[in-house]
Amino acid sequence: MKLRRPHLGRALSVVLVAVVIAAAAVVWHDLPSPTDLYGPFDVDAPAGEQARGRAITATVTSVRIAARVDAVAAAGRWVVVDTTMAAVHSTELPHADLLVGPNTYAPTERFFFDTLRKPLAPGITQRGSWVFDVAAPLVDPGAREPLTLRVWVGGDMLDSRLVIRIPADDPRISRTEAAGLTPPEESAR
Amino acid sequence: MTRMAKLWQRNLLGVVAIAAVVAVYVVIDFGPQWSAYRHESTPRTVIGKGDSGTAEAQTWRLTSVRHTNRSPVRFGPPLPPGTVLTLIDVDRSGTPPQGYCSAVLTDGERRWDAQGIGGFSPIPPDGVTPLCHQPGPVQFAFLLPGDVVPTALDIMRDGQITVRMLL
Repeated sequence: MKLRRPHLGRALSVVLVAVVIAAAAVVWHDLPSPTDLYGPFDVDAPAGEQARGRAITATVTSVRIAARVDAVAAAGRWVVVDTTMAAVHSTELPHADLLVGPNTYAPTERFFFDTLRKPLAPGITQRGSWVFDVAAPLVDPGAREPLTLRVWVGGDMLDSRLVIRIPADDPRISRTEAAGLTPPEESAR
Repeated sequence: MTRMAKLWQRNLLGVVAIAAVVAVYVVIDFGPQWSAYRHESTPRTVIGKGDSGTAEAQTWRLTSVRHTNRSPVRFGPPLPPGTVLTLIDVDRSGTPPQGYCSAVLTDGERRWDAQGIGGFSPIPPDGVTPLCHQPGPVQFAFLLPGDVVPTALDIMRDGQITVRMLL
């Protein structure tokens, strides 16, 4: 039996609708998660080089791993990340964390006045340290886990985030029994 | 009227009605949000150099701009190398609205927040406040690189520039 033209058109419509619905279902089940949608844009840079995002710049100049900082013992090991930072366009308050292996560490508040915590201003560099208390096996001699310092401003949603990689064998990493901190220094020169 | 013409008339009326509804919705729902967004970069009020103007039910007039390369506070560290402290006095009358506001100095490209408590702000004279949200004359202090030429003082509220005073 031969299909008449109106029947053919109706069948074609049904098939097209089914295809569109199926395609929509596939896309719906394959959507990125909200954290991917609103997450930050990572700006990668190695230690020793300047990472430049929308709002701030940062350069990791050295990393000191010590059991004690300013005579205060760590629960694990202190990781002191010496960093030079500045704002690009406007005054910004930076935030940071450190990834080591599977762990994410927030900066310690034990050395409040001697760590990077002040707002950054355009044209005025700040040299100071982020300090983290990290599980000893992850940073003791022989550990192979790289360190990753992440720095951002605001809530980090839909904004750039500096991601600075520090390999475990980077010559900028030094290990000592005790390390000292000095308050962050600002300079416009 | 033919059947096709009636159909076109109906469709056209439908399009006009939908466009009107969308326009009303956009104006009512997105209008305030768009205005707030626009005033993050465009001031609501601009006051010329040496002039006074009204914004937020207050009268504003920038009275003096001073620069110093020495910290105005006797204790604490000196100014960072290569920086200057810019002190700006603003004469203000009227009652500030509820809520927090802040001051930002700009050179047209970059923006610096006013120094907060514990920064390089001097203790202002009697009757002058260093806080934007308090009533009366106000003094702001800004730490700037020495080569910056500021062009305007912005008063910020909820991320918007409510008033810009040209220097």
